Amino acid sequence: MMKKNILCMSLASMLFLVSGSAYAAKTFVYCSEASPRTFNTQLSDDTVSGHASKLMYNRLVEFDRGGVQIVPRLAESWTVSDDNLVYTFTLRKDVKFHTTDYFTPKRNMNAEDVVFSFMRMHDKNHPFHNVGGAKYVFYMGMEMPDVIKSIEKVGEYKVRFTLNKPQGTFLTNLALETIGQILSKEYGDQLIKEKNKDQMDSMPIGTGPYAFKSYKKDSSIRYVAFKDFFAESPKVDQIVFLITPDQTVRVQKMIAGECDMIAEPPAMEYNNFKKNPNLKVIDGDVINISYLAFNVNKKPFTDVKVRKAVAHALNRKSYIDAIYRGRATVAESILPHNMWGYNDNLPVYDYNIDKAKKLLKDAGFENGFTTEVWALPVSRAYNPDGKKLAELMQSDLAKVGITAKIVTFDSTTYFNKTEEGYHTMAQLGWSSDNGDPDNFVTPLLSCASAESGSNIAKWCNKEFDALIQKAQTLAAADRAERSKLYEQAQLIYKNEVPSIPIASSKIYRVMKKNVMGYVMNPFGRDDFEFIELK
Amino acid sequence: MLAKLLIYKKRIHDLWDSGALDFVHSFVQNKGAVIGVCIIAFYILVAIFAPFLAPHSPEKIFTGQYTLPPLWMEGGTSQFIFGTDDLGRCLLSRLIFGARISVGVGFMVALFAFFVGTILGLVSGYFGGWVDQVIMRVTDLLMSLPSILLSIVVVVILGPGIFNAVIAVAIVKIPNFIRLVRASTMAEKNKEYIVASRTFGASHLRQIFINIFPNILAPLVVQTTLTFSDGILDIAALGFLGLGAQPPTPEWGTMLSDAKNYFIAAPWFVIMPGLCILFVVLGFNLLGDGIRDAFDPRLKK
Amino acid sequence: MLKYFLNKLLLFGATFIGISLLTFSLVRMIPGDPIEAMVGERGVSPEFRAQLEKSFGLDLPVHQQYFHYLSNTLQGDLGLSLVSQRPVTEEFFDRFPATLELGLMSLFIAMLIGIPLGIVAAVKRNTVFDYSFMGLSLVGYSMPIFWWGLILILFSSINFLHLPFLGWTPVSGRLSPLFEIPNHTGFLLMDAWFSEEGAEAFWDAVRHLLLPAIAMATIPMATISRMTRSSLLEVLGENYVQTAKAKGLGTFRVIVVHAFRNALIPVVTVIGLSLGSIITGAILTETIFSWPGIARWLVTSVMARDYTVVQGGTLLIAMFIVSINLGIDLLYLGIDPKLRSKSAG
Repeated sequence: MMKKNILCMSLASMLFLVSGSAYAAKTFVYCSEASPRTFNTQLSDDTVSGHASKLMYNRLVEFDRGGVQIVPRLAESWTVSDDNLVYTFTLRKDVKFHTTDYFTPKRNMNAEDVVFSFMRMHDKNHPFHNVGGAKYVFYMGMEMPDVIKSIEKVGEYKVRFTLNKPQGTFLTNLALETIGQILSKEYGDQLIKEKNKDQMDSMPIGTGPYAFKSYKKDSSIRYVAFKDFFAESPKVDQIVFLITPDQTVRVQKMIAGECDMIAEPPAMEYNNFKKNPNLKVIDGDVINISYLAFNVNKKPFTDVKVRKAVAHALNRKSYIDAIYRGRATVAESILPHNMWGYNDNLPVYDYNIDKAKKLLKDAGFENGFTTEVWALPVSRAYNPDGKKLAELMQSDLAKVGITAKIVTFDSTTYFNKTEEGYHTMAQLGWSSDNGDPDNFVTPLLSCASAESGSNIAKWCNKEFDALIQKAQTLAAADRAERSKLYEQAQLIYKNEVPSIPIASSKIYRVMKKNVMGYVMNPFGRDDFEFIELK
Repeated sequence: MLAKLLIYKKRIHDLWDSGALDFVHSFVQNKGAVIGVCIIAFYILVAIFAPFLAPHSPEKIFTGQYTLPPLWMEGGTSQFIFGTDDLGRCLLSRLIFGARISVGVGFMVALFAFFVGTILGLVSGYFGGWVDQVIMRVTDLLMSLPSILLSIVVVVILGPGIFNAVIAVAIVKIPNFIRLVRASTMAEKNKEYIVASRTFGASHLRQIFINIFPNILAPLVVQTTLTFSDGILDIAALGFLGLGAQPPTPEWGTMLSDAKNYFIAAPWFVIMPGLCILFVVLGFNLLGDGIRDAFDPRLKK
Repeated sequence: MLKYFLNKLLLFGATFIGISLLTFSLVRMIPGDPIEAMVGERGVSPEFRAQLEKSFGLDLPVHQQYFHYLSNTLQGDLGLSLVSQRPVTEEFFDRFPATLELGLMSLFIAMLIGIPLGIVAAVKRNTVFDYSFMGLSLVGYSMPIFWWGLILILFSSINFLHLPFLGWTPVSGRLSPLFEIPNHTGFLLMDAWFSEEGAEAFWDAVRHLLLPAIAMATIPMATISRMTRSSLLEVLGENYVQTAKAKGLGTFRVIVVHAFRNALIPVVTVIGLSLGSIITGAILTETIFSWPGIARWLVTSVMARDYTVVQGGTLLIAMFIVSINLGIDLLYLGIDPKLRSKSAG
């Protein structure tokens, strides 16, 4: 009898779980793509760590919900000196750090915490500078160590940043979670006392809407709602990141109802998700570009006619249909069409086999030639499947007599070798880090980055370089002026064809019907602050 | 004279004893084995006549016709009987050409492992001593690592590609051959006809290849057949992990790994390459079983 | 006896050295740069690179690197994972229970189905049962697991045919996020059973375990059923069974009491061997089902060029397999007196 009861109970409980109504205590399950490298994105620029840490922290200033406008957050207000060199922030007084079983704050957030957080990256002698490998990727990448002269506390709730030279993107940089998140100095002091400094980034304390609860490597991360959050209270009790690296498995779990939302849903499932009555699809626009870069120092791509021929040979429209399943637009410039400064009046290289053949003939390659196409080995929003794209390119190039071999490596080797210029043609792409056009043209096409690597076309054009350098030094306010310079630069780019822009992708997110309040920011990152379950 | 006589006697005796006719008889009696042979024959024929059977070139891309369903499903067309893949290539043609790859790699893996493994096993078993020690210790080492993991590491070292995958898979199959051949050789080398011909000064080479080798062939044939099927399976697994054949080669494992992204949208795209793999492997396993049973005197009774 | 034991132990030591050398050199042959693997795709300054190389001992000559590695390994230190920066041993033992749990469950399923199939096939030799069961087991034996796993998910979890009795096996994971189970042993079934949620969490864990275990059980099941059949057939033909039958004992009794017990020995050997090959079976299964075990961890580490993990993880797995084989050897030594006298002589 007893046995029977247990069996009944367990059967009942199985059915109960199947029905899916078990998430009674409001738990939001996000199927994420990988284990985060760290819970402090100042140390790592990957999206995964970004998602895992963003909901626990705040910045002095942040982007508005779903946009790129700078709005006050931990700072109530700020002033900028006339020479654009001194920024003074006044902080909110009501901001509390998380209370967890490993830390109980005794005071509210103040200027000490702000100085502590920035000096960690800035000052090599800071007690936490070397914790976690001392590589502050973005802080270094945005040249902040050179730009910032000093960071000082000038009052209990006042902080002053003094710069060496004006930086148009300074406020934007502070709003990035890869630079600007505010840690607790009090927690830092406690960890120094406990001789356990590594815990700073593995068991984090922040001011954000959700507090860290637990982390099981490769399995799950748990966050609980922070009741004393200084802004609008969080709407769900618990957020769980279920770490699900395989994209296919994430899709399967979404359909089986095991996730409330998944990371990076693949383009090809878009229509299926749309058709599914239990799911909701939200479209998003991101600022990104994928391109095929030539190595302009390698024959035969030293000849601009050959580069133009390839541009005419590629049927980019078909790539949008096959690889992006229509979830992208054909790109015509190195700047995405939705980035300010984009030039609408650029010449277009249409898909035209005859033109391509003629150009090849003019260049002396009537019988074509043999070359390589390097395929992007990782799936990115801007290029979901590099190998497939390469197969299509290969077939297109064959039609004009160019025999292309598909080459690919593991991702690190790939990025490395392209930076060192071993390729002849290689796929790559770029996503905006901060919503500024400079963030595209300088790393991708400047002479300096041809030298340092990220300009894999190895293309260096003095005229182009002068234009973008001039735009760089202008202050952020001179947007119209900068725009003009970028438009001119794009014209040069388009005539020289160091790379062929392929597509700017659209992305989308899929979630259960009852998920409300989701926003996606234009950098393609998910924001869970306002998540609700209805 | 005596030694030669002994050897002839042994050979004639063997032929009688193992009974080639008997073997064929019991093999044909075994329905499983016959089915296996039929399956394999079918695959080999498809592989040979692929260009005539396939309606399209396996690499031809039909722009705009992506993941079309097969003929019998809603939206299917007679142009693509099994539908198209994610890049608009005819799935049927790719499956047909895939037979070439799979049967080919199975053959290459089996041949490579057979060749290297048999030679090392013969040497190890025949000479014994330190040679044997060294070979066996290395064999033990290789066998203490999970075979697929070892294959993966080897492919990563050599770089992905069908030929490297064949080498990687063959390497992990070699130890099985070495052990088998060594054991049989050791059992064989102390038999009177070998001892006799040794006293009459037969060279090592002659001893190994003319006298011993033919007498240990029976278990080797079984092992080779099974390696055939294992090889096909492992190459497909590597392909599935993205380490085997590279695009646009129509290899079934690689096709599966493409297909799994279209799992829900296009289930047929997942189901068909898998069935192809399953049946060819089944065919070789049936054949291997059949040969083993036919050789096994206990079961013949 | 003692000599035999010492011999085995010596061999164990030699194998350890051999495997450490093998894994060390294999990893060194993998193209790519460990530092790049560690810092990701945005590059690294030359000074920082030099500093990292030094901290990982990569600036030393190769043979010194090996001795470093060996002596550290003997002290139980396999280094830090390049990707996660956590000790390899820690990462290994975090995941090991998941793999073992899956492996044991699949072995259990394989026996549960394989042995009865084999018995029926043997008893009803050359009937339609025999043919269909053995045919089925050969199909199982020929199954591409990576495909089979996908098919199982497609039919059972996604339930794309909308069958009424399917759809309750989760796609992946070990436990639904609803439950938060304290981690005591790492064996989730056990942890769940003794947790506050008790039976409910336990059944949830079973649901999660079922599909991957079935996929992984397919090949051992085929082997076990074939082995059961053939060894039972052999025993059934022997005199004492015939005698027992002649004595008028029921067929069932004869099979269970007399024949099966004796036929079990080779079957147990096969099961023991399957234990050693858990990892091999787990590699594809864990990949398909995103099972958080060591096999998938190793595969992803190979792909990500996490050299220390590949090196250390492979070594640990190999030692696990060698230890099991050694254990089986010693066990036989205890059971079978014939072996004992042979080894003494």
